[in-house]
Amino acid sequence: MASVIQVKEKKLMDVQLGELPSWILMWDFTPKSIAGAFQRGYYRYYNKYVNVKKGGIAGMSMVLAAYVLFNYCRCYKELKHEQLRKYH
Amino acid sequence: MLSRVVFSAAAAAAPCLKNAALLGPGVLQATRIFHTGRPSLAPVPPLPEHGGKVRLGLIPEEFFQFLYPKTGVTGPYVLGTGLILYFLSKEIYVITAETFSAISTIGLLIYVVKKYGASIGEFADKLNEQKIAQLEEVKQASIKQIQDAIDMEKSQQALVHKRHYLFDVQRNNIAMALELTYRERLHRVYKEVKNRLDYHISVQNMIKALSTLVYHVRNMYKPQLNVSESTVGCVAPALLSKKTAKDIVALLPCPPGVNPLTFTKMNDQKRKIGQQRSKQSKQMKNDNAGDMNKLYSIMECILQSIVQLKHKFFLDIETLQSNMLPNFIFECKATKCYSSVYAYAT
Repeated sequence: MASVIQVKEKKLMDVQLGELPSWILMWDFTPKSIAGAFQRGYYRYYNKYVNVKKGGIAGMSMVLAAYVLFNYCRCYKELKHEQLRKYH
Repeated sequence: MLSRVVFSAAAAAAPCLKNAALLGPGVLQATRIFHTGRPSLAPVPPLPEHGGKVRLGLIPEEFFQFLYPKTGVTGPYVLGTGLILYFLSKEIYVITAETFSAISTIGLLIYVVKKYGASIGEFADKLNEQKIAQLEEVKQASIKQIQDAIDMEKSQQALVHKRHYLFDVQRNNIAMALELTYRERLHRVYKEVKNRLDYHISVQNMIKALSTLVYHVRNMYKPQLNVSESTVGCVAPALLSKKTAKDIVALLPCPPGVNPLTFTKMNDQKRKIGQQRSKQSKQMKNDNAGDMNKLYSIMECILQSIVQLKHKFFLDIETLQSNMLPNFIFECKATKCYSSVYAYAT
């Protein structure tokens, strides 16, 4: 458990699997930090895929794909009734 | 800009940006350094040329790289295919009527992107370039302006060092002007003095001539005139004090029958009258009276010339030349009188 001491600073890839719950619990769950997290994520994506000299489809298409998926997940419950076969 | 403030606050709350505790996949953007410590307003690094690489327009390259060590090149594709089949077979993805519309829409989109994507990209790039060129122009213009201002400033400073040339020129001009006026005045002084001296000389010469004339006249007419020898030479100095020809003529002893006032040049009529009278008196007098009249006229000329001399020397000084005396005598009618007097006297 010697690695617990520095757990907060680690990135996801460096965290050991056993320390995962404690690592997650170390986050701030204040609204301010959550908003900060969203902003950071947004800027990360933006600066990587959109705010470039020669951007491509990727920047927008990923967002749209994510949106599509999100909506599909939302509607899944109603879609379940339109399944073609009952047993899979 | 507000976001940066919030970011910095958030970054302050959690120690550093690499607080990937809140972030998903641990991939950091190495190119854009963002909120490291304190925000610096120094020149922002330029935009990256291309965005993060993406395969199939949807899946970032990092995913493929993530799976490469374990599964090689085909890993993610196999994974994708497997996932799709799984969703279909388990009907996690339900095939409905919308499926077909989705397929056709996506097919169309892909076709359009494949065909016109490059040209649209170029068009957008051109627009960008125009914007950038404009800004660049503004920047260059401002730089040029400032450079011009700097150069002008420098040239003016250089001029300041060369100011002394201007002052030297002005000083020289003034010195020349002063010299000029000094010399002019010196010359004028010289002329004036010479004038006065010339006047005295010419007056003396005139007096000499006149006194010889008077002497000869008196000598010739000594029996008629009751004049003693001693008074012959005394007339001359008294001539200078008299102002007009009339006064001078009045000094001379008047022969009987001759009115000295009639011999002024201005009164020609009077002269004529006097001549008539002299003609009349000629019958009564001998030839000497006519000679006396002639002599008196000659004398009067000379005396007039003396007066004129005075006037000429003291009124019209600038026109005098250096060797005035012979010219003057030449100019005046006294020349004729002079020579005729001598001819008569000798």
